[in-house]
Amino acid sequence: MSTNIIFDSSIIAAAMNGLLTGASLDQSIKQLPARHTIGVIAFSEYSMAADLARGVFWYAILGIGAAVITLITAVLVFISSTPISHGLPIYIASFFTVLHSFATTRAAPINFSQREAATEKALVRVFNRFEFWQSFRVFFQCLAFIATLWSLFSY
Amino acid sequence: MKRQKVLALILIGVTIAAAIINGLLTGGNIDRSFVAMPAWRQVGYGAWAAFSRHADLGTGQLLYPLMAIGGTLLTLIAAILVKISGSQRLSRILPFFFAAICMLVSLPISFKAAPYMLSIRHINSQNAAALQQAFLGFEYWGRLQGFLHLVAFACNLWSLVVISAI
Repeated sequence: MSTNIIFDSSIIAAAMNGLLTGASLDQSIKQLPARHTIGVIAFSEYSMAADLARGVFWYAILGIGAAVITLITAVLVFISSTPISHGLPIYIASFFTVLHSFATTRAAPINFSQREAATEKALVRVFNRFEFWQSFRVFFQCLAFIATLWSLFSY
Repeated sequence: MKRQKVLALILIGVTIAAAIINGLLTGGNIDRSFVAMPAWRQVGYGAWAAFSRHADLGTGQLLYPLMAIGGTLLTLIAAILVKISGSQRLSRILPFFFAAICMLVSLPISFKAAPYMLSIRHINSQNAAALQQAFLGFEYWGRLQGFLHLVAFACNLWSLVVISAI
């Protein structure tokens, strides 16, 4: 397996993980806390026009793309018989990718469920549950991003 | 020899830190340009102003300027370090300088965007025309800033490729 292909794929993984983490962090630190002051109904109106409209395609491309390219890079490193010491950063990035992807499989349906929330109380519950999984997700996305940058120095 | 090694390690650390911060900035900017701002056009400028007073002018007011200034400083330090480390080849220096130029140019653009955002504190929520003007001004300068952050992040990654090849 050519080291060039592994290296190029690591660069793409780092770039995509960076954009994904930046978007996710903005949601966790800036957007979600604003619901406490503007109210969940107003926040939900925005969230449905953003996350559940254009955001669906953008986050799917970014989220799935970053996860797939990171995992593919790890597989390429594995089948190229790269020593474990050199492959470690991308294996670690893959581990965190699996964790944040798992968190996404929990967070996304919760966010979509706001469409069915009939009352303000129900919306509060939806966003609180979403925030829990979102925090878990963004933490592992940050770690995966750092690990992909580290991997650029390991081949 | 030892000094060169220490300089190289510092350069790697600073460039990785710059890439992390500029990557996060870029991700947030692209998200705002392609997802958030089109959604606010649909929901309404009044709702955008109410949200921004608590988000962009809440936690965002401290976080984003810190990240923009921090990212610029780290990118500049990396460019200075690569120069004093004795690199003469243009292909090695170029990505560091491109990244630094983009971040430096993005700072005054942030100063153009910020007054539009700050103005919503004083605009009455019934004043649709003033809110629209603030929204459009912030969107315009925000996109330009986002583009420069994107190029700087790409140059940070290119810089890491250059360092890892040495």
